[in-house]
Amino acid sequence: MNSADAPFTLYSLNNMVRNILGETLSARYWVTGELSEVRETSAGHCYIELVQRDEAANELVAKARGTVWARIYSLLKPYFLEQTGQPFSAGLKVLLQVKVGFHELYGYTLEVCDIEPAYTVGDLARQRQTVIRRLADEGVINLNKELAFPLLPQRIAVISSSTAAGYGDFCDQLARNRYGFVFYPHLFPSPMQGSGVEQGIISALDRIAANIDMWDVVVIIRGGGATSELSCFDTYDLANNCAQFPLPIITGIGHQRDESVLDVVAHTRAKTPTAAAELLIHSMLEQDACLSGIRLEMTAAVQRKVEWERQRLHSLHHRLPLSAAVFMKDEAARVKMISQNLVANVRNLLQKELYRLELSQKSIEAASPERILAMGYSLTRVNGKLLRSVEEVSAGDEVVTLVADGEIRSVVKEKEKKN
Amino acid sequence: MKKMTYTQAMARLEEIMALVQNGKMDIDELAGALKEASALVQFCRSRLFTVDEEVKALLDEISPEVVE
Repeated sequence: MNSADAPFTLYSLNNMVRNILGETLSARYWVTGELSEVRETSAGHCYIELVQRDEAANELVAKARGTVWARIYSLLKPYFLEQTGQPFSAGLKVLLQVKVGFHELYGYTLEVCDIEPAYTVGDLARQRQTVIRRLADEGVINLNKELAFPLLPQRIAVISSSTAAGYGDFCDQLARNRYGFVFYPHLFPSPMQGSGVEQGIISALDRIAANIDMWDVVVIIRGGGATSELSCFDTYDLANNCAQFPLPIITGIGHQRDESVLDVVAHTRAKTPTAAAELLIHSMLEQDACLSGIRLEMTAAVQRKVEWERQRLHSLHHRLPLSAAVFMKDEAARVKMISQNLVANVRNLLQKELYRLELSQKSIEAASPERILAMGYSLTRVNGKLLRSVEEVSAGDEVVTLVADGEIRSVVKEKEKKN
Repeated sequence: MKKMTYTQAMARLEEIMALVQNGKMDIDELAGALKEASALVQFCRSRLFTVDEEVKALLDEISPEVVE
């Protein structure tokens, strides 16, 4: 150690800092931060840069370099990928167990001893939820789902990496479908992992949209399985573009555990490229079954119709003579009834008239003066007028009385009125 | 029928089916309807199983995408 008045060398000062830090911060500390840089060396070590942002201002408020020695990193790297579905890479929020270190030449560094992947998983889920909520709030989240799926999804715009196994599997599956359905897959290449995914897929969608009428459906696929990163399919811009795309999008990005935001907004999610191909084959199969059904039903309906017409004809043929006979019989009966009624009515009418005539004759006969005179009644006239009252004669008047066999002339002596 | 789409063909098929099924179709029109339906089914099935050269030609027209 230098004496008090002599200056330190830089090394000795740094060495003092190193010793003091080593004594006072000797424990291991759990620390959260965002990986801003991750660099692997050929020796298998990993150098990182850890930062903390002020979320509101989006400004860095702390920064530290760190080291993961190869011995730790060879375990940490696969463990982290397996647990989070993400490679240990920049942009992730992590919870690390560190030892604080200071090196005379390299300065302040954190030596990473352990990692808690659950923290990263939670953070990614939170980010994903934020994006999903935003898409829902903006009313776009279900737009792609609401599109009608084409009856025949044959002209398939495939977004995938041409080098990845997924596209090959997909095309094989389609080409070898055992029904012999025809498909027209066409590749629009895009990176399927890493930071280029968002722009790659969006630009592929733009190229598809340029000839939108040429395609029935869009398929976004990637082989790989559960260990591939998924967070590149969780970004807002990608999800927003896909949700509003005018053709149904099928995803098959091969992640078994989690659903990415892209899966959420897609029309249909398949787990793998092979499953996506199966889904398309199944759609075709449904149409095939539908056509067979129509053919059968058509034949059956025509047979029903012909049979019905045959029976109608048959029944008409049989009913016709019978109906005619029944009709004729009815008519004959009606004519007979009418004629019988006619005779009866006429006879009745004539009889009535005859009776009426007889009655009239009798009453006429009864009223004749000869008959009345014969009965002993007489008629008296005065001055040629029929005498009906004592008022019409005076004493001394000559009256002529008519009886049945002659006339009597007499002179009135006196008259007397009754009462 | 050359320019008919699959969807249109299916719609027409269903229309004919409905007419035949509800017995409204005249017996004189039946043979014609059956012929049309059969042609439509054949057209639809050809879309499922036969390579459409027109589509293929169109796809070939799109310049093959560059491998990234």
